[in-house]
Amino acid sequence: MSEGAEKTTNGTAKPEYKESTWGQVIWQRFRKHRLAVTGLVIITLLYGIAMLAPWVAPYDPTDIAPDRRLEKPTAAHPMGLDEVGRDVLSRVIWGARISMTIGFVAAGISLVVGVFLGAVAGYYGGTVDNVIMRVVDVLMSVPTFLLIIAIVAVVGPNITNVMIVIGLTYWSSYARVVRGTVLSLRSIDFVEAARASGNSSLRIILRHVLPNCFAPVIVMATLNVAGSILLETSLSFLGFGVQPPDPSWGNILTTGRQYMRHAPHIALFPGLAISITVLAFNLLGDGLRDALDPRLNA
Amino acid sequence: MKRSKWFVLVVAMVIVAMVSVGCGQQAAPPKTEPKPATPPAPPKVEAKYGGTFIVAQYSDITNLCPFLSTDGASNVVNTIIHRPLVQYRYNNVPTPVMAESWSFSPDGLTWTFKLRKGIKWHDGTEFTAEDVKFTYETILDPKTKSVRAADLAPVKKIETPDPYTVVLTTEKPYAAMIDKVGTLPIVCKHHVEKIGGLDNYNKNPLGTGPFKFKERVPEEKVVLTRFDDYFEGKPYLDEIVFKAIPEPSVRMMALDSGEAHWNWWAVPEEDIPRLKQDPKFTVLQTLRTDFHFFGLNCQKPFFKDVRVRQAFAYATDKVSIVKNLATYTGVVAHGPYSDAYGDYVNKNIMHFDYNLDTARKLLDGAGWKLNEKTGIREKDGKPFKVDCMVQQGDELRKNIGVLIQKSLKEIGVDLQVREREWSAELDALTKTRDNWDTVIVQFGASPDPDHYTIFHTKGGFDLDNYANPRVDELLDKGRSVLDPKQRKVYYDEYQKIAAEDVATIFLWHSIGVNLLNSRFKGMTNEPAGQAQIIHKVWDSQATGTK
Amino acid sequence: MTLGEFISRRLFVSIFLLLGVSVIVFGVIRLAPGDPVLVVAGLDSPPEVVESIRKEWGFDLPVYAQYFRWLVRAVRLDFGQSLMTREKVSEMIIARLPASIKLNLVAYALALAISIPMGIYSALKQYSLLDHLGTVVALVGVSMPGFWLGLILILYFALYLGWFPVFGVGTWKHYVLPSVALGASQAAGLMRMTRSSVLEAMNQDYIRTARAKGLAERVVIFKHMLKNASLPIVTIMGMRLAYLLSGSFIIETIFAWPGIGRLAINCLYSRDYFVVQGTVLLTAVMIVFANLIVDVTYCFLDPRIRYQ
Repeated sequence: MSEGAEKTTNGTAKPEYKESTWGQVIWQRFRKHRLAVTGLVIITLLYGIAMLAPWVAPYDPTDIAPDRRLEKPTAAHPMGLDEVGRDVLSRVIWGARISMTIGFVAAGISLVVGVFLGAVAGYYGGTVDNVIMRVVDVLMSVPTFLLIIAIVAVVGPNITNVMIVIGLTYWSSYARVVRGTVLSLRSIDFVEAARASGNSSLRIILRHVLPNCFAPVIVMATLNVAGSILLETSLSFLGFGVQPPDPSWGNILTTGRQYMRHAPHIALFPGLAISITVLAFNLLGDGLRDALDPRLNA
Repeated sequence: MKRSKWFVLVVAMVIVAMVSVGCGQQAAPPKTEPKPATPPAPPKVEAKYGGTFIVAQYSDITNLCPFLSTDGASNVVNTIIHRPLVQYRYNNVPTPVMAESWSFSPDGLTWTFKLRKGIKWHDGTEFTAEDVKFTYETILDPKTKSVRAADLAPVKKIETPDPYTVVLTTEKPYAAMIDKVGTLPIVCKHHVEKIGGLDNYNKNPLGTGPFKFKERVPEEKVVLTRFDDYFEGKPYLDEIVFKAIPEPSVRMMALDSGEAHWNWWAVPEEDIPRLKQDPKFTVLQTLRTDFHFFGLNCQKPFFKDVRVRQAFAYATDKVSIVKNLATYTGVVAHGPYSDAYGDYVNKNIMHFDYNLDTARKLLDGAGWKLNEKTGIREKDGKPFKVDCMVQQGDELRKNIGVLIQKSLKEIGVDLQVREREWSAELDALTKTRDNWDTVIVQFGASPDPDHYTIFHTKGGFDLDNYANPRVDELLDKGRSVLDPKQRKVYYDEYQKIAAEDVATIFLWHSIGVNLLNSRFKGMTNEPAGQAQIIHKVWDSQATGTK
Repeated sequence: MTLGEFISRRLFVSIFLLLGVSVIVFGVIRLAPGDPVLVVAGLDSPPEVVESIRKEWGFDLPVYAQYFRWLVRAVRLDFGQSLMTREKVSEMIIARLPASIKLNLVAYALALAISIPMGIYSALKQYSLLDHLGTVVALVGVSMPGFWLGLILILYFALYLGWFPVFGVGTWKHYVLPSVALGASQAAGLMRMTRSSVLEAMNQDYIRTARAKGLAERVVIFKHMLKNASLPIVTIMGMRLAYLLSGSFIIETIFAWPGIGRLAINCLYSRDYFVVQGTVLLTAVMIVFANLIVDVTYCFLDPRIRYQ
């Protein structure tokens, strides 16, 4: 029996009443969503494998054996060999590393840039707001895919450029959401109070305004990682993604698609990997959305 | 007595029966016929008229005007709609088509082409020398912006003394006249004038070929129908439909499902052995006149020393590359001419057999010392790091790069494969010229041995920025002399020097692989393309007669 | 602000938007290395020919001059000619646009037909097995790389089973596989949105009122909830459709569908500048237009939101 327990008048213990933090409430609700939890587990697993790639991968992903090209899966090579005889399993594991890095970094860039610009636009209003929002509008009117390809054609397709370009494409949705939240909060009392007590604008934004944006932003970010991984796949389809011999799921899949008919193992496994990963992120995002949205309790 | 007679009679009848059954079995045509390399014998089974032939293209056509298009897809269609004076048929032999014969003057400056009479255009009017003159002049006109203008540039005068004779005059003897000019498809003068110029030609092409234009749905298909009055004889097929299927695996699947009948582009290597066994398909393999190569940019300081270039050549395992990556589609090359060039091939040039030790010694001799720690050679503090440019999305070249990278690593050279978009690569090779170190690419040369454009310092390509004054001289001479024996003397020396200089490490010559649905007969191996003999192709499931 | 004022104000802003888009695209593709004049003229061409081609297309002018030249003509709906095929850009686009639109509409309709009923069901029976199953299936659709799904569909349903043709256009059967591949990515988002809108509407006061009034469950659902739930669905629909058009390139390539996406990307590769500029402008116009329609419809459906 802990200290807070009280005894009722007839001697049985009253159930303990502890105040839960907001985080714990969210976690409770998230836990109920079994699919979302599955998503989280999968992501953690894949992330672990990806980070431990040098130790987990059975072979060197760049080791070629051209006389054994397109070998079907065997016990020694559970995912078979690719078109120059490299072990597909090792390449998929290393590819996990590169693809997930691209996903996280690109989403991170979008988040940072978008939240910052959105907050600035919402908080300062006026011309600043106008300019930023016009840029957002233009960006949303451009056929994004075409623009990405064109930019990558100019700057050259390597991992860094791909991450930055994808990152700079998606920030507009964050900006809109954050700006909306900031606008609605600007006139609320506690912000006025904070300002009156002399806090700098930056502190106000960071401490009071941003935490309220947390919910939609985190959901967006999760789905953004998924989207970035898929976008890299599409870029690889056109040859603008990560360049071989560096393995990314996108470029293994792209090379493999030529052999779909008679050596489908090359395309099958990275495709599955992408699908499962993106699915996991989507489930996670779905679950977070449900957990964080107070209105969705039936 | 009678019984023995009966016995003999029965035995005789049995023998006769057996023999006739055996003969009957022999008379049945074999399931697959070997492909002739010479003009095809007339079909053993009578060819039927009728049928629709569906061709799988790798992309939509760009231009139906034969001298404005540059891509393979358009060229196939245009070669069928239009005909030239001469074509290289039946193993690269210049064959008179719309021309009946040709000759050149003793000083080599005047060529006379006698044209066939009675050739009809698709609109029923007659083909004359006026059309030839019109075509050539249009190509030469800068307003047309034709790619083939450079081919006609040496021709200074075009005359038509009578409706069936064309006389071309040049300032210097132009050895490649037949190859570059004779093969230009001819367009119809009064038709182009009627439709108001070439801008509208894409919707309305007109030629003298075996099939005429029926309709085009952009991005989807082009449909041609038989031209009954074709001058080489009524073609067998009713219609030819060209469908654009960009995705390679889907193209193959279309042939599998029977939704397309002919795939002449990029038949996957690994499928070839299986396809050859499959009675549903006929696989045609033709040696081409091109070459795949690993080029070393001679403008770069690395490659200014011939020892370095030779070291690279010794470190390139051509045999293994071809065996593994071009098993059915390549023949190891040691020089720019494949055997399809016949007598012009010089068999006595330097070969570079794979030998890493020789390579290492050469690099040592050139002053590149191996740094034990990094494993990479250095000279004056600079490490030997080079990049290798390949076309973006090109699996084959990339894989070659990977193999070469591995060998070079063993002799202390760090090679990185960099993919570049086709436009950027073309730009780098022909305009900018100094933003690449090595390249792996293919060059499609034409049947005439004149390689002026390819390796002359003033030629349009000047591959690898190769500059050798003696080679320049030889190429100049070779193209201005008409006697094949004299040309061979010059070209033999050119091949010898180019091999020793090895700015270009020749990898292999392509064997063009065509996949045809076995239902269609009559297609032969044609190094210059099967479109030329499409009028001989017939559908065994057709039932029509003439 | 009246509706008229709202629309004219938005149109005015849209013009600047389109200008901005055209400038960006113009700049970016000119920056990319590669010279289309060389490709068209051929590498052997004498320099005079190359220069005359360059002049005729205006590539010898400074970049901003080229842009204005294009802009002035674009206003008169003259988007220039393709450098490769010499055809008029407007004609090329018009020839291919219907195919893309048809495919996208069918794909979207398919996605709607599946996801809206599923979304409603999921909302009513939240956390049931079918809800979870539906969510997973929809999310699988959005998680698979489009071309991978497309190739797998062709391999099994067209080649092995022979139910559908492998590629191209022609009959209704040709629509099925590419629509599924294209629509799969939409189904998840639509289902999720339907579900959350219905859920949200379910908890509103007026629903409780309607229930209290004793109206049949069915009536309650269909009349009130859907009307309010349709608001966000319509909102997203228009925008999605416009984006879909520009993103269907991959499916068009795999299935050999003669659409506009393929044209745009192929011309980007070959630096066929005018075609790319024309296509991008067209797509931007469609997106902007779609946004406008969506906003106006939004206002009609929900009287509370008036022209903000």
